[in-house]
Formats: sequence, structure tokens, C-alpha cells
Amino acid sequence: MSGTAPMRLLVAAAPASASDAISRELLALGALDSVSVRELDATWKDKLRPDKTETTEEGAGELRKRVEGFFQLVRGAPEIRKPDTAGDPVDLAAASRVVEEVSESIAASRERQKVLQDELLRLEEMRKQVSARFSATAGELGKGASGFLSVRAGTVSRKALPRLEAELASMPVALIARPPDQGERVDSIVMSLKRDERSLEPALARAEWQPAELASGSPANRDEALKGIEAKAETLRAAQRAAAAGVETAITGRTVELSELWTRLRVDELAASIRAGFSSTERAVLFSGWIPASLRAATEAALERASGGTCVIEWHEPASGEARRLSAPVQLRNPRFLDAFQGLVTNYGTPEYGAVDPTPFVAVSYLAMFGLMFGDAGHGLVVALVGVLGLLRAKKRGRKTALFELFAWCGLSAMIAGALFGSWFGLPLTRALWFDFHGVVAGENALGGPVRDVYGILGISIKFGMAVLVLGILLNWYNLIRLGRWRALLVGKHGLAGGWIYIAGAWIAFGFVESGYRTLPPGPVLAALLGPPVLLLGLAPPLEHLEKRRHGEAKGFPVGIFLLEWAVELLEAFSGYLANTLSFMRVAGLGIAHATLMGAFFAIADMVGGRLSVAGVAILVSGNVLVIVLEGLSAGIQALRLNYYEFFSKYFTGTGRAYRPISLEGTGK
Amino acid sequence: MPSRIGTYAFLAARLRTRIGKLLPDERLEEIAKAATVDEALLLLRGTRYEVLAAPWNASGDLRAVEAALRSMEIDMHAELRRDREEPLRSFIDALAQRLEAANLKDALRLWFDARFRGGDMSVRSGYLHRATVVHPVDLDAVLEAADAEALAAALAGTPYENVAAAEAGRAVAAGSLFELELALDRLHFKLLFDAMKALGPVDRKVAERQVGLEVDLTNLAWLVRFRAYGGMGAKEALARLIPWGAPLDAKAISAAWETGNLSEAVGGMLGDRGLQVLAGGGGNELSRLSLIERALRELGLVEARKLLSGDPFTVGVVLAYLRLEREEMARVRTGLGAARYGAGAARAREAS
Repeated sequence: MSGTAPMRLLVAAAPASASDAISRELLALGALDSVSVRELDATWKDKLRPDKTETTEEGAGELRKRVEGFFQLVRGAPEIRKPDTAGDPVDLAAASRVVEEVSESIAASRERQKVLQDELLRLEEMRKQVSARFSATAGELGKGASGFLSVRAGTVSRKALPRLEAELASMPVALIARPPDQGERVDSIVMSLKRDERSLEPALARAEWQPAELASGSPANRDEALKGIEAKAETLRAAQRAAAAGVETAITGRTVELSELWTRLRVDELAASIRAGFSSTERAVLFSGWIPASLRAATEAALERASGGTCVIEWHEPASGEARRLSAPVQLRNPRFLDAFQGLVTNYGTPEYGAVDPTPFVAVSYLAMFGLMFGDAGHGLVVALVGVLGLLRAKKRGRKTALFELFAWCGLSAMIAGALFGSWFGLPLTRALWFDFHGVVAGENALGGPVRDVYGILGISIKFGMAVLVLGILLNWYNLIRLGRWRALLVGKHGLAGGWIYIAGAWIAFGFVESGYRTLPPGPVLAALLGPPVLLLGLAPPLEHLEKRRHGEAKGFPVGIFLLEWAVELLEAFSGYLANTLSFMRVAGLGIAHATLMGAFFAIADMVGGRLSVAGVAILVSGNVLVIVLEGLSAGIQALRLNYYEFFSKYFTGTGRAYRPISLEGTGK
Repeated sequence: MPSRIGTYAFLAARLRTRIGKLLPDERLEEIAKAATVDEALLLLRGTRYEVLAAPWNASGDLRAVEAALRSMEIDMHAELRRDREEPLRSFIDALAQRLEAANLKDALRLWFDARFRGGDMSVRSGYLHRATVVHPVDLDAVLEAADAEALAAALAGTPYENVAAAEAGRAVAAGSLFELELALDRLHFKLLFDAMKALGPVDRKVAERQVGLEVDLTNLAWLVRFRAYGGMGAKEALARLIPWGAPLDAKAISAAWETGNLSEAVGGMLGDRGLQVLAGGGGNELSRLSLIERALRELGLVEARKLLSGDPFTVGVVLAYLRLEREEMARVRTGLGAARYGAGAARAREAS
């Protein structure tokens, strides 16, 4: 039976000088679920102090997050090479300088962008002023001149014109020049915001500007002004894009350095988090934590290396010695292909240490339930394909794959069920290996077989449910035996008494059904079957009370309360088991709904011109999609509910503590 | 008038879902502690504020981000009023008018600065929200106005016309927009109370209580500011308050005005919460002002949250939603500002 991995509590002492090396070796091992030594014995609290480190978890972590932030800015991730836990700690001051250098490069690029943005906004303001103040056709000067727009007409020296153009290129100014074929002077119009007039004076002076009344043949051309402004704006936008690219370059240009820094900071951060659990005296350091029993030898070797053979080590079994006040963490060890189902289990809770690992059972029960509710090979194929394609895509993008793995498994289960029921997209394309589900639901039953009507399908789901519930009860017995909880095993609702009631009740019920709902077993038989377990259940409250009295937590012997609790317990047991069993009828219900929906879509397709007509094909395709999505979702959710509520409630407490070692694989938190 | 359940059943569920998605305090604190705006915006990835990264990446200008944030807030009001029937629709418009007035105030400051102080409005005017919020305010006409008369003419056809006609000339003469801005704030509350009159009796009661509280808190904040910055007497200050709030003890205010302990008097009016906040403050009146304003803001938030535990089929859920969203956006804005200028978490919290 698959259980949780055996754990051992490590308690060790070593010279304080070896503290750093020990933390790094333990990090490399990646197996320590740290426990503070001061938790082991309350008297140690005052005698020990936390182990001081130069590199704190917060300090290294803060810098590490900032480096990660740089990579996120460029939508990347650090290229993590094999971390070297044996290296020297990072000089945080130097690391901080590197981070600040990158940060300053980015800030400089942003500042440049902002300066360009201000210029762009000025140009935009000019553009608005020019557009608003000049008509499209006349382009005449002076008319409707804006309060903020300055328009100057004059002439400049032909020789100085190129220099003037160059000087004004970077300013929010529009220069319209009309060089004549001959002549030294060029008619020009300068448009700017009034605020910028003074700053233009030097450039105009150098170009030998002379104000002039322009001849009518020298119009101020609004469109040319706007074109000039747009050209400048485009230059600024290009410069802004280049500045934005500078942000990326500041990071991508130092990818290797930043990746290495990230890795070293991460190592230091994790080593510091391990040392955070250490306690020290003047010259020694003490530490403790849970390690899987299978790694005991490797741990001892690592500590010997780190401490030069001076480390003193003790190992304790769970619930004994120094570990008696602690709860051992739980490590689930399942093959990789069960990861999706392990996720379903841990989503509910963590099993208690020493109890059975529900994962393989959930894998079987969940897939069986899904298959029974979604039994169509064609639909299963689609779901499986979605799962496989999604899985490949998620792997490529480095994303989680559990959901797509589940899709793939569910698809496979549905394909197997579809083969058993002879159903491919609702059509009997192959002979049913078990019984023709669709035929039975449709009342045709053309092929006959072991199931002839929906009552037969309901019967299968009830029997399936009973098998699941009995399995749950048996797993509970196993757990109770392993954990030594004898009282619960004997008189608990899901112990021997409860299981006896359920199995006896099932036998009675089947007999009643087979008799045509007429005859129950004779009274003495009923009494013999149900009497003992009912009496056993009645022992539960007084036994619990006696246990509490032994620990001084209760007084007296309230018989009335016991009787009341017994009655309630009986009611809960009978009604609970009955309800749990009948709950599995939803398996039949969803399977029947699946078949019925397909039948309805076929009927509609027939009504619109036949299944092979254009309309018919459209209806069948959309119908299949709808059924896959809706029924698939329903079946998945209901299977989960049946596992979580009906199955787990028999044996799974979910009160365990997950094993979280501090390792380079994850954060260990 | 449509039934309250018909009006609010779906709306309340939708707004409560959104309230449930507000950013936790820890995230807002982290944003304020971020070393740079880029790092702060990374913290907003995966939230509805991640759209703020686009204007920042394009321009490197925090003002572009703030403009985007303002547009988000305006769009939020617009989305809320869509598909709403009267009188709720008009009430939401009246609430949104606060943003329109804030936008107009920004435009007026630019206009005043450019017209009368030779300032450059070309850069900041690019970030004004030009689309209609509630009324068709032509901000370009406002910015182009040659004088006070032209300003009033530019605002013709809007509720701001009369305010501009009454106050713009005085503002130019005084060289300060102070009175004009106060008048705009009073106008906002007037429009709000006018819109409330059309609400049903239950909604009106809830709205009057909540908006009345906001008036009270605004008045108290104004009093403290007038004393600290305004250089005016108690009588002048009291005359400028918004008229729809709870009556204030004029004698106590005047007495505290003379002694310079106004922040303590106001703290006393806030009850235990105000005095608690002041107990942790310094002796400087300005720092106590800052504490008072924080207390007032927190009171407003507490009252907004109380609305959520009341009758779900009232305008209270709309008021609570808008108040809480406003607070979150203000904190995001301030956090980004703190990241830009390296102010750190404590100052950012104080300033927001």
C-alpha cells in the first residue's frame, strides 16, 4: 500500500565556524525541512540565540527580486546555470552596485525618453495652433493668429539657410523657406510658440534675418508647416523608440552577468533561510530538521564534509525522543505520470504522516467515474488530443502541465469507456465490448447484453459507488491500524462498526430489491446483522469520555448525553451511508444525459435535411462541441466532487503538513 | 421609477465582485517601496493597471501614466452609467462631474500660468483629458481664452459658465485661482445634491448621509488648510465652506483659530479616531494637518465599507464602489510617484 515517505528528525551540533559550510551542504542536498531547535525543548529558548549571518535572507532576497525584475522587463528570465553552493557568499555591497548601475542605465534611458516626450508635446501643441489658425487654402499670414503662436515673415541669406535649417531642426519650430531661382535672399516664414521666440533670436541673427512684408507670391503654406512639424515629430518618435530600446539593452547587454548574480544571490538567500533555523551558543551551532529516511546516509556524509568530521548528529523517529512534540512532514512519492492526480489530492489537503497516500486510488476512481460519465471514444479522443497538444505547448512555454495531463488521462479513460459502450461521437461505429449504452438509453437495446434498460445503468453506478465507499472504509481501517487509533477503529463511524453497518445494510438492501421491494430479512437476522455494530457505535461516546477523564479534561458520566450522541451518530451513519451511495447515481445520470444529448442532436440533424446535409453537418459538429465542453466540464467536476466528498470523507483527514525542504528546486517555503 | 431590486440586484453583485478584486494593502505598499517606476509597474502586471505600462514604456513620462490613470477613472464612471436608467444615471453623472471639474481645474491652472505668468503650457496641456466626461467642455477654448471674459464664454453651455463669469475676473485681479477653485468644488456638491433630489426616498437617504459626510470631511480639511496656508481669519474661512454639511461649532473654531490649535479642535470633532491619530503626530501644525487629512480619508473609507454591509439594493453600493476605487487609484498614483522620486513607503502613504 503506498504510504507517506518515512521521515527522521535530525538534531545536530557543530562548531560555529562551520555554520556557513553546513548550510550550503544542506542546501545542495535540498532535503532539510527546517525546524528551529528552540521548538524542540522550551528550556532551550533562553539559552540559545539565533545564528547571526552577514548575508540575510531579506538582503539577498531583495536584490534577487530586483534582478528578476530586470529580466521581467524584457520578458525574459535568468539563464540559470548549475548553482555552485560551495562558492563564497556574494558581496552584497558589490551586488547592490551592479543592480544600481543597471537601474541607473534604465533611468537614464527613461529620462531621455521624457525629454523627447516634452519636445513631442511642444510640437503637438504647435501643430494644433497651426492647424487651428490657418485655413487650408489661403495660407495667408496674420489672419486669426493665435495668442500663443508666433508667425514671423522675413528673408534670410541664401548661404546661411542650410545652417539655419540645421539649427532649427531640433526645436519646435516650423521653417518654410522659398529659395528663388536667383538672388541672395530667401523668403522665409518662421512659426513657433511665442514662448520660444527669444530662443530663436541667435539662430535668426546668424542667418542674417530681416523682417519683411512678403509678396503675395510667397504664401505661408500651412500644409508645408504641418509637414515640417510631422517630420520633426517622426524624428523625435524614432529617437524615443531608440531610447526605449536602451532600456532593453541595459539589461540584455549584461544577461550573463545578471544571470550569474541571480544564481549566486538565490543560493545565498536559501542558505541564509536554512541558517535562520540555526541556533548558537558562544562556539557552537545547533540545528534541526526533518530529512527523508532514505537520505540519512547522504546527510551524514554532507555534514561530515562541511564540519570536518566535528558534527555530532542524532536521529529521532517521528513521535519519539526530541520529535515527540512535532508533527512529521509528509512527502508523497508517486511516479511522474501520477502528478496530475497527486495535485488533486494535495488540492484537498495533505495526508497525515503514516497514513495511506490516496493518489493511486484517486487516479483509478477519478478516471473510472469520468469514463462512465463521458463514455464516448470520439469525444474522448478530442479531449485527449486537447490534453496532449496543451501539454506540449505548456512545456514549450515553461508553464504548468498538470491540467493538460489530466485532460489527456480523462480523454484516454473516455476512449476506453467509449470502446466498452461502442460509441464514437454518438454513433455505434464499433461493436460494444460491454453493452450498447446509447441503445439502452434510447430504449432500442438492439444488441441486448448484460444491461437492458436505464435501471441497469443506474444499478451499475450504485454498485460502482458501493465499491468506492467500501474501498474508502478499508483504507480508513488501514490508516487507523497504522496510526494505532484502536478506539476509532473499533467503534468509529467509518471503523469496523461503521463498515459492518454499511456492508450489512447493502446486503439487506439488495435482498429487498431482488424480492421486488417486498421482503426484508426476518427480524432475528436483521438483529444479528445490525445489532452488534449499532451497539458498538453506542460505545463511542462513553469511551471518548473516559479518555478525556484520564487526561483530566472531563468529569462525571453523563449517560443522557451519551444516549443522545449515540442516536445522532446512528442517524448520521445510516443516512450518511445511504446518501453517499445514492450520490453515485449522478454517474449514471450524466452518462445518460451525454447519450441523450447526442440523440437529440441527431434528431435535429435529421429534421433539417439529413445528417449529411450542410445544415445537418453543422448541427452535428456544433452539437458535438457543445457536448464535449459541457459534459466534459460536468463530468470532471462531478468526478472530483465524488472523490472529495464521498470517497475522502471515509478515510482522508487532510491534516498533514506538507514536506517543504529548502532546496534549489523551489523556495522551500 | 424602476424598483430598487431591478435596479441594483445585478449591479450590486457586479460591483461587489469588483470590490473583491481590489489590490491588497501589501501590494500597494510594495509599489510605494519600489526603487523605480519600471519595478513598480511590474508589480501591477496581471492586474487591470498593467495597461499603465504602455504609456510609460512609450514616453518615460510619469505624467502620461497619471493621465492614463485619470482616463481609467473616467471610463469607470462611464461604464457604470451605461445601461442605467434615470434617476440613477444622472446621479452617476453628478458623481463623475468631480473628475470633470478636476480636469477643468488643471486646464485653468495651465491657462492662468501661461496667460499671466509666462509659463509654458504646451507640455502639460498634452495630458489633459479632452473627451467629454459629463458636459461638453472645450478645453482648447479654455486654454486659448485671452482674458476672463473669454474664459467664461469658452465655458458657455456648461454649468461652469456662471462660476467663471463670477470668479475668473477676480482671480485674474488677485493673481490666484484659489477662490475660483473653491467655487468649482462648491458647484460639484451643489450638482450632487440637486441630482439626489430625484432619487427614491431610500436612495436619497443613503446618498444624503454619505455625501453629507463627504462634505463634512471636506469642510474640516479645508478649515485646517485655510488656517495653515490661507492667511485668512476664522470668519472668512467659515464663509467659504460648502453649505450642505453638518453645522460646525463656529465659536470653537474661532477660538481654536486664534490659539493656532485648529488641528486639535478638528481632531476632537472626529472623535476618538481623530485624537488617536493626532496623538502620534509631531508639534508642527503642518505635520498635524497631514495626520488630520489622513484621519479624514480613513473615516471616509470606513463609512464607505459600512455601506457594503447595509441594504444591498440601494445606491450605497455604487457610492462605496466609487469611493474604494478612488482610494485605490489614488494609492497607485502616489505609489508610482514615490517610486519615481524615491520617496519611500511612509511618505507615499502620507501623501496619498
